Amino acid sequence: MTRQPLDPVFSALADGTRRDVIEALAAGGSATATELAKRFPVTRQAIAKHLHALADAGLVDVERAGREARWHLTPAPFDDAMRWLAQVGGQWDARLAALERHLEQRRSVRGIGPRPAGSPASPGLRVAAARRDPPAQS
Amino acid sequence: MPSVERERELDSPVEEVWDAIVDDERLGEWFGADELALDVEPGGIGRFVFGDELRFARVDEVEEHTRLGLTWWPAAGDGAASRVTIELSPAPGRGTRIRVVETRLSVARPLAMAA
Repeated sequence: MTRQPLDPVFSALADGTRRDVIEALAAGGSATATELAKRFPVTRQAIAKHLHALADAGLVDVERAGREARWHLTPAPFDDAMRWLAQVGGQWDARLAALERHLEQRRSVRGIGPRPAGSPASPGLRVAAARRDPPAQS
Repeated sequence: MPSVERERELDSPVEEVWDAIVDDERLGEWFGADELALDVEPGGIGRFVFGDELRFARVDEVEEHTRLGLTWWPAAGDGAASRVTIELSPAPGRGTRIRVVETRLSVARPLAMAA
């Protein structure tokens, strides 16, 4: 099973009405375009168009029963988008914390104070060092 | 485009922070890659290994002590490329403000590297 690409999700969510539709579906479970149109100051046709845009982005899906088409949320793309943001954000948090420790360590090596022998510069979260020799001290 | 932004103040001067980024031996000490090489000049290429994942990078922009911009993408799979900009500016007391923005692009890899 292939995952939806992430970016159409963000494009689809750039529109305020679509975000409102998502919110309404999240709150109400499922709805028809007609039901949704009653809740927003737009036509049923406009809602239907938004629903199709959201469906293209993989955010909503439709179930047809007779003449009725009921729309509901598909949670996966949200998970994907959130996963990217959380993962990349977490990586930069860790990197910037490691950069700060790296600079601190460097300052103490330069003689502002003796660096405690053998003490790890960073208790707790350790970032894997590059597989190479330590740089020569300048 | 989805984008992650982080900002932090560091107690070291801008030149020192810049050096910790553009010297790839020093970058390797804090970046969290198992292996890395980065040629910091416009058009320079980079290579980062994170566990099983290999990422390639292309340096887009270098403004000494101020800004480093690069685009990177996973060498395998259909993961999207993203653009990373690291900006440095002096902060009070000989410190440095570092701002990182990573923006996910809609392409799997930059066109220049697709061939």
